[in-house]
Amino acid sequence: MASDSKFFSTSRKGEIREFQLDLNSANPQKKKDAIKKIIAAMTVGTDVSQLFSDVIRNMQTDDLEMKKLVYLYLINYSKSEPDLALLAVNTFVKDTANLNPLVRALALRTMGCIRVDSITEHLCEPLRRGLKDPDPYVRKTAVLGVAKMYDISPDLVVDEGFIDMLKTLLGDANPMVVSNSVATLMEIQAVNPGQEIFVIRQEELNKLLAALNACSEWGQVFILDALATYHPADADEAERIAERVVPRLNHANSAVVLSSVKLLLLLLNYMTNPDSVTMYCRKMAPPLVTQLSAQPEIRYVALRNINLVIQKRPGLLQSEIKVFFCKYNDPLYVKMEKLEIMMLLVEDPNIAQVLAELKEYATEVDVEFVRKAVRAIGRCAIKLDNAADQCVDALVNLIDNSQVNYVVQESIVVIRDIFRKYPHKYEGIIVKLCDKLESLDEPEAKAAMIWILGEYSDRIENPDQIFETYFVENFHDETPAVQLQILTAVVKMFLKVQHDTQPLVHKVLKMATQKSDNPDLRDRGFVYWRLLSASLDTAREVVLAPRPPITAPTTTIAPELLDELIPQMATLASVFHRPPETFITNAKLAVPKAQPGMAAPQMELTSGADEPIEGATSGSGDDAARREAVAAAAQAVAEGDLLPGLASLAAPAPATAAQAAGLVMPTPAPVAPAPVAAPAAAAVPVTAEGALPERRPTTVLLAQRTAKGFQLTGDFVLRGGVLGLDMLAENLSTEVIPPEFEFQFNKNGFGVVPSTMTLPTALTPGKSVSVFVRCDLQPGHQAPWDGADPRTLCTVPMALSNAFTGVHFFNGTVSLLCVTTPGASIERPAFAERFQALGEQAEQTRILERVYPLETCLGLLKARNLFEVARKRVEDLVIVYLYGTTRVFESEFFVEAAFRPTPAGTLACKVSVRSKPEGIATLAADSAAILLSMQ
Amino acid sequence: MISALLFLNEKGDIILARNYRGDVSRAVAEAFRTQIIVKKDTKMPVANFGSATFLYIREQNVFFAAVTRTNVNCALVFEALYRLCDVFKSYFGSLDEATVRNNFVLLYELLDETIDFGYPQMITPDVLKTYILQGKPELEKKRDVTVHATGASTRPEGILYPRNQLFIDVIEQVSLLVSGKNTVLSAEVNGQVQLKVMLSGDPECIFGFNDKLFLDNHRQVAADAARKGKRDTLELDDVRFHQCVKLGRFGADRTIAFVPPDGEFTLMRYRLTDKVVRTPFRVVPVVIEHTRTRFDVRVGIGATFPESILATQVVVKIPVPPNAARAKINCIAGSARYEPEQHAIMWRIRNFAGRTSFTLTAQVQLLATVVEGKPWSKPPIALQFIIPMYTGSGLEVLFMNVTESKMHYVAERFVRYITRAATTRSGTPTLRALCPPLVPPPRASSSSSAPASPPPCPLLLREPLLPRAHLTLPQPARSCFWGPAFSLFLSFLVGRTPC
Repeated sequence: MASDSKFFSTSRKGEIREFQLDLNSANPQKKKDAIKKIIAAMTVGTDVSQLFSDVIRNMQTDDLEMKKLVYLYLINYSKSEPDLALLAVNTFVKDTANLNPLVRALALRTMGCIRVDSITEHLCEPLRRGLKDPDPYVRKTAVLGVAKMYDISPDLVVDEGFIDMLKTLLGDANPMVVSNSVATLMEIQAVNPGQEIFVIRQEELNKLLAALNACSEWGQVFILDALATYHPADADEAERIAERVVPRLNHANSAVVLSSVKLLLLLLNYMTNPDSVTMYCRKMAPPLVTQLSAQPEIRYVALRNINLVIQKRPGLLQSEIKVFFCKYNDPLYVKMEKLEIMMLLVEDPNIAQVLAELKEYATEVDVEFVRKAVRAIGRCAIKLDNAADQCVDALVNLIDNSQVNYVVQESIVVIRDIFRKYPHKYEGIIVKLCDKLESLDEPEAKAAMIWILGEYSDRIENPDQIFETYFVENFHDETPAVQLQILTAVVKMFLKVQHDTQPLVHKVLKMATQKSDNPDLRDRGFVYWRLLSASLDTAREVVLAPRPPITAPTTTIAPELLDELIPQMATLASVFHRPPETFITNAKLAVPKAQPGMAAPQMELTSGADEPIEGATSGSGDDAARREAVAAAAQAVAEGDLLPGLASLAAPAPATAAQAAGLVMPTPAPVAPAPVAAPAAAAVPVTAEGALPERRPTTVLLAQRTAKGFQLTGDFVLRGGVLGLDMLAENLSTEVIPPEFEFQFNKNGFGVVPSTMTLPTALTPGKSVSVFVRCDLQPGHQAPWDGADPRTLCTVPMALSNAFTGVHFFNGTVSLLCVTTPGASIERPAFAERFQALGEQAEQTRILERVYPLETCLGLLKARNLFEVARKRVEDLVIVYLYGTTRVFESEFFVEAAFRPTPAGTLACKVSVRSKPEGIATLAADSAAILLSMQ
Repeated sequence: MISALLFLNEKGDIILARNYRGDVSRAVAEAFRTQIIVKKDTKMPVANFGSATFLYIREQNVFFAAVTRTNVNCALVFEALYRLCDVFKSYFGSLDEATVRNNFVLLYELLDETIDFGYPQMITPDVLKTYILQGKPELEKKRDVTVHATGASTRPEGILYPRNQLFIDVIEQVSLLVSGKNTVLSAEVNGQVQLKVMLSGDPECIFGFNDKLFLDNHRQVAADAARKGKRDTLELDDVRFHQCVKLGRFGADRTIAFVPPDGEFTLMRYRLTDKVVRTPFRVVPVVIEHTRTRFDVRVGIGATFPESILATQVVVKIPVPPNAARAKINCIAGSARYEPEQHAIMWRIRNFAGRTSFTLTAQVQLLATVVEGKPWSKPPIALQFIIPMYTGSGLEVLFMNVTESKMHYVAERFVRYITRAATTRSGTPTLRALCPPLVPPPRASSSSSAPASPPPCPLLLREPLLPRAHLTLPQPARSCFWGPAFSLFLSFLVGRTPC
């Protein structure tokens, strides 16, 4: 066939007219060439929609190639010419009755792709015929036609009974019809999480397992993914399914293998016989390893999933660490991932091998990879006590021999962590570190070095001179993190070795308090100053308080998240290690999930961690409690830092921890975590108390696409009784974003008004920072409410302006439970009476399939100012009655929450809310549903 | 599922796009350009911007990307992308910007047929070719096309060959990493069994090789094999099979039974690590450093396979620093010369008999440079060669039974071990796609292999290099001066012998 590229040739004026002439000519070849030219124009993005009626005229043809081209054109332009598109319906319908099954299927397929309502209406009849067509090819096409129709008009699909027809087709003789039906039903189910449209039961299970063997590889993936939603009745059934799935592990297609592994992992949860668990684990390992010789992209997906698997089942690949050693020709992203997995698998028996590898990597050329390798050495040292000596040797070797500056700097950052873990064990190497003082230019390495110097100032001969020469001279040129570190270190030095160092301390304190315009630095300076002038002993106790030990996390993903991600294996969520709703904004899914209640639980924890610190500040005698609190806070920060999402921040863990620790003063100065610690502390779930679940802000308020790479994610929360907007500001652009923002809300249902919004520092590219904007309720700022859709009440129109991003308008949603009155209470009889009086017509009910444990749920509700009126237990059912009032409208609402354990061992809950006006009940029920659900 | 598939050129312009779900616009290409093509960092193959996620692969000068707005199954998408590339290549010969433009009509047709509403349907070239016909559309109805297209049957009806033949090709790729003391640090065989099937009717085949677990289950077969002198068995780490193999049966008793599709396909891929991989060559490098700008190399290479076997097309690549000026080379066999564009001495030996050894010596002169640069990436010595009648894994084909219930013919079966140079996906032969060495310190190794020679490397390592030279290097390597370790690729060629 001659090259088609000639059709792209030139674009000149009058071209459209020429196409038109050709299309209407009598010569079929000329017509065909014309339409090819039109498609070529379409391909490069030229608008050729004005030819619509001319093209459509050529639809009725026996030439299949011509027909396909016309159809292609229709798919692209029908949307812009919906009226003219109707002209095509006749031909379409005629084609769906053609003798040739290929033509029938083609017509069905194309009709589904045309997203014009009027055409969709005409699709019903052909689709119904198609689903019953004798030819399997037409049937399988029609099945996906249903999915297409559902996408455009879900009601039509339900009304026409297509869903039941699909369920019947699960028993079809042709495996592709079955697998497409499964895929379609799963998709429909996925956009209706609350309803039971397609739930696999015994009957479906058997049909699917039967079809599994005969299916195409893609079909197998659809079926396996669907089976992952099935809950086996008992261990026997789980084993029976596993037995049928295990052979899939030998399939050549990686997607089939990964989906099988996912299904097996889920089935293992139901198995009770330890032998079968071991056996299945053993069977899963080799196929997973084999994925490492697949194409790089698939290898990457596999590695991200292996990461999940070994956190879930640590023994699975324990002996296979060698296969994760990086290869010469691995792409960088694969190498980085392998390094992660090596860190999870490293243990005493293989540390020597791993360390040899890491030393190798540290001499490579990719900066990012080298840094990660150096950090990995540090992680080994912290994870394995016995290996610490070897690791430190390796690092010292790197510092001695490497000509590459960033290797030296990274090593110093890592050594700082090792000093935290093994205090006073490796003092000998400080001299070597001091040799490199001059070459340090990265703030992080500087901060680390300064921390070490401050910590060991009593072991160094001339700490004051070192500080003076290397750091204090250029104090004002340093970054805030380094400045803070200098300040703390100098004070530490003064407290450890007093003689002669006073002038230096004085100088630094003066610089910090008088010449700096950084409020955090100034505040900390003042705190130290006051502390030092009050009592040296107290100062010593505070500043030199022993720090909590740090530990390397054995897992990098929180267990709850892991449980959530395992059923998502092989999907994007498993690659990003993030729940799907963080990167998907599907309009259909977003309705219940976009509400901000999600992030709320987190703030209790943060405040929980903060409170003891403040509490302890008043009574200086209560030393232990304070230390514990410091430990908890510091630990939280340190752990938080190591979470994957903030991997870039991984190294400063001890620094921030140290700052947090160093900051605890017996004065009620700004004690909250230091600014550098703030992003980690606020954005990361704090595990200090461990009782309440936590979530990060999830709603994207301002997408990076619209704001030149500035992204704002945030939810309204009630933090320690204070309403506020908890946000994560991310800079995904290439420029520095100034910290000052104008931030305003338009009049809104509840009258929410923000305070000012300022970031602690300017945002450099790639960084993110948490901001908490306090909000108030002002009656004057309330927008009138027509009482129609209660959800409009929650919408808060916002405007934000910044020198970099310009002005942007967007909407946030405030959850009803965030605007409740504190201290609301009611007597039992009164509750019962009013609850009854409202009646069922004022009730809103939500069924939650999986909620947090009972006490956690109640804790969460209590933190939202809900008052527990009564609790009763009926067999395994626990019913709790709660009461609350809203700050605006002052409406009361009455909550009845019934918790029932499920066979799978989780807890389900039915929340009923009664209120007047009803809208409040709707909102309260929605927001409680989000608050309690464990996704 | 997949919302759209895009072909983009290196500038980020859309060459061709097919939108499956109508929820993305052409404008997403802009995000792809600014966020992926322009950025020079890690180049993650999965990238999320806002609510759209790109999953892409690269094929010559074309980015082939899938866009999605759902929590799609990534493994599925990448498999589908690669499979589509295979389909396109089988239709067009290759896949680059020009072929995409030249065949856009057919491409649209293929994209329409292979993926529907974002769900992969049938992405098998042989099947597609029965009803997507290049340039000569036929409306006449073929009886079983649709059954075939839904994967219900792997074979079209009525296939008839005058001679029923079956060719079995075993292709193995061995990567091996050996320290200076000749201990194997890591060894891996990646092999595949490819079939070319020219059989009539609906044949059922059973394939057997010297798989230990299979022979344990089938004592009779094992005894037969032993009588023919085939006693060695092997235990593979992992096996993956083509869609047509009945995995249930393999799971039950390790029998590989299948009804083959017509034509060529890969029946199985297998992997073997560490245990029993045989080392075909022994390489002993010695480096003697005289001054900062001059050093001597001596590389000895010896074949460990039996005399009856002849390795061919042996290429030894001995890397030298990029600032090498010239090399004076002396070798007894083959031809060798310094190739500056490769930064290596290339030593080619056409025929290499078993149990022989050759030595190469070279004096390398370096340019004295003063420009600071990154250290030399120090790739390992690389070997490429073809060895017939020799398998790294020890795999042997034992039998291939063909049963056809209607025609009862006896199929002619041939086994051969075919030669394929290890290639990357872009089709260029790789000498460099090597396993990295594990234990590198050049000092230790050279002193062990040649105690007399001075430590060769420290000065060299410090040698400042021109930064520009590095840009011409491929992805830089693991740190190992080539003294102590080397990596190998080997493939096999055996003459066609009736099975």
